[in-house]
Amino acid sequence: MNEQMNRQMMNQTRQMNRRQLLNHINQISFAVDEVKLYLDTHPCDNEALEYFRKMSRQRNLALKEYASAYGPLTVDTAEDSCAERWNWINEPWPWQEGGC
Amino acid sequence: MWNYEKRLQYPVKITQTNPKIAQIIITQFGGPDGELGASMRYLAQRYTMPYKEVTGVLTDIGTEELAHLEMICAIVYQLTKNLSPEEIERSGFAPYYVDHTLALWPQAASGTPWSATTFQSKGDPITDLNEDLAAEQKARTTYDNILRLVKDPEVCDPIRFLRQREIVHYQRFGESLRIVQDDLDSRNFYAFNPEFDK
Ligand SMILES: [Fe+2]
Repeated sequence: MNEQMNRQMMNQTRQMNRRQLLNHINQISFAVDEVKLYLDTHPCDNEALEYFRKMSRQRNLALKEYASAYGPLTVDTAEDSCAERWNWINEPWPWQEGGC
Repeated sequence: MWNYEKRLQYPVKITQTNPKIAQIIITQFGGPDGELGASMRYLAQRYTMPYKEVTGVLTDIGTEELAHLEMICAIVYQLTKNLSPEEIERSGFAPYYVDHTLALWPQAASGTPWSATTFQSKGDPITDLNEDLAAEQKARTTYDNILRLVKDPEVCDPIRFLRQREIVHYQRFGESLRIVQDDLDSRNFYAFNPEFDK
């Protein structure tokens, strides 16, 4: 079940261009941040917990996908980047043009 | 410990420079109700906080404020990129420029340097959470004031996002205060300090 969902999500993100994938990561990460903060004061809310799991899974997949296509946004996905060189410094920084 | 994520929490894409507005917005980097002070306040307060929910809130909001600081810096950076000496002179940016060129430095709009004296870490959960609630409202007011001065939609958009976050943080701190008060003696919340008296 999870496997199948993962594959579906991977196919979805694979069809996105760089900008779309980045927007997707920003949106999904915001959902994770927001529900994480909510869970701090509502740790037993099962619906929120389920939402967290779903969003967090999607975020991790999207981050991996981004790393392998364009370069890593996090150190944990740096090994998914297939490049020969150290892409962490080669891709623009978030405040720069073309950055995230 | 912290890990850097190479993206902004919310995108900042400003195509028109405006050093006048940059000098105002920089106050949310190093001003009295800015993001640097917000982050330091919450991260400092959490070590002695005896309620695990509240320690979580302080840690996660303190971390998010660092992401807000980065957004503010990105806004200021993009508003002052590639300025010519003439533009610097015309816009009143010269006093900042002479000390920092086009680099980022935490100061208030008035030029006052960032200072830890703008916040408290008092070691009493009711006291600290009331400070945190006030801090979120002060930041919200600052963003309201900024929005009255800024016309460029590319600047307003991320500022509106930051303003909304202050309201969400205020909500979470309100719940934190309720958690603390529910645990204390309802006839006298101040009978003892749970961060000090055992
Ligand atoms: Fe905040």
